[in-house]
Amino acid sequence: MGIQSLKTGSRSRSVMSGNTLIYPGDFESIATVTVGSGGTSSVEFTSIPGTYSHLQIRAICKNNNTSTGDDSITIQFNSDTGTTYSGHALYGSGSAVSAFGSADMVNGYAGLCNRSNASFASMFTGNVIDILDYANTNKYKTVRSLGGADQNGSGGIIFNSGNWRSTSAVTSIKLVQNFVQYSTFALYGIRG
Amino acid sequence: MALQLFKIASTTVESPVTNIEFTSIPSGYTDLILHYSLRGTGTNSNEIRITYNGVTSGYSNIELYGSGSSVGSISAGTAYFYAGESPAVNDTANTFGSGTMYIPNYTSSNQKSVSSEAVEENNSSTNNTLYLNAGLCTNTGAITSIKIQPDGSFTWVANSTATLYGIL
Repeated sequence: MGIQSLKTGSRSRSVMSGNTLIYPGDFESIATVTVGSGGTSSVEFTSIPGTYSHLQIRAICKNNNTSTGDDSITIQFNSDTGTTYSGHALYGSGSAVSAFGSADMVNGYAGLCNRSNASFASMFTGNVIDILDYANTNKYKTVRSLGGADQNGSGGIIFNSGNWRSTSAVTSIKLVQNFVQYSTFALYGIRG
Repeated sequence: MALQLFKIASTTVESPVTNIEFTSIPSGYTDLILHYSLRGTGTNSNEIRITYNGVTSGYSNIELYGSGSSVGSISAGTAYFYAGESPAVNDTANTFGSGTMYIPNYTSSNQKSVSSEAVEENNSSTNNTLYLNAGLCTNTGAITSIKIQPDGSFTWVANSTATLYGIL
């Protein structure tokens, strides 16, 4: 039996019947992908339910480029590959800061991916990607992300935004990079 | 126990409003998170101004921003937390900004520190801005209400949303 605290509004399960006390919360896992051996050129979440208010992706990743540096992760929604995206970034390299943006692109930006240079062994990047009101059919979809690629002496941090000019509910999300094994992507739904 | 998020309240604007306010915020959480997706009726953008408990003095802000190919950092004392800017009339139609403010230790008797990230999206290579902000307010009262309003006499348009969460 579910109960709700009148003081805090928090919800939990009653222990009166002997249930273990849990707090279900409003931040729920929808799906998780861990890239296997051989890697993959993209990770896609499909059949995303429209029952949440917001989505968040937490990604730890690396690509197969053996040069030094890092690369942007790109994002597409609902398999739309038209020029319906814009993307913008604020980037810091450790010694300089820059900003850039583009209109009418075939994808948006969503974070950074460390490369697989020999000196970057076991160094993956962390990214958090937010998509508010993803199922709201009255507005275009704005994506916002913060990612960091630290390479122990080099690297970068990036704050991205992007817009998909569609009022359709987001039902699938594709993240594109040549991701290597052990890259992990977790999609969460946030109730509101 | 693992960190968990609980919705406290949410608002979807149905017709233009001068502000969005959450009142009677319960004290039973550790921190607060505020998600906002806003569009204003200004010309090029609208500031997102956040106050708590009706307090209109003692706020200070530091910002890092990127606008087109320009970057900068500013600081200012204000009558509100500055939480970025939203798209407005001259920006791409149907486009709303996206932002999150983190409000730690909101019931403490200390001065209140916040951080926020927000984007004013627009289908343009130059006319958009990304914002990372830090704020401090000298008022030490426990936060029981939060108001989100645009600058000037502008309003938030229909389908603007804000959701307040508590963290345990």
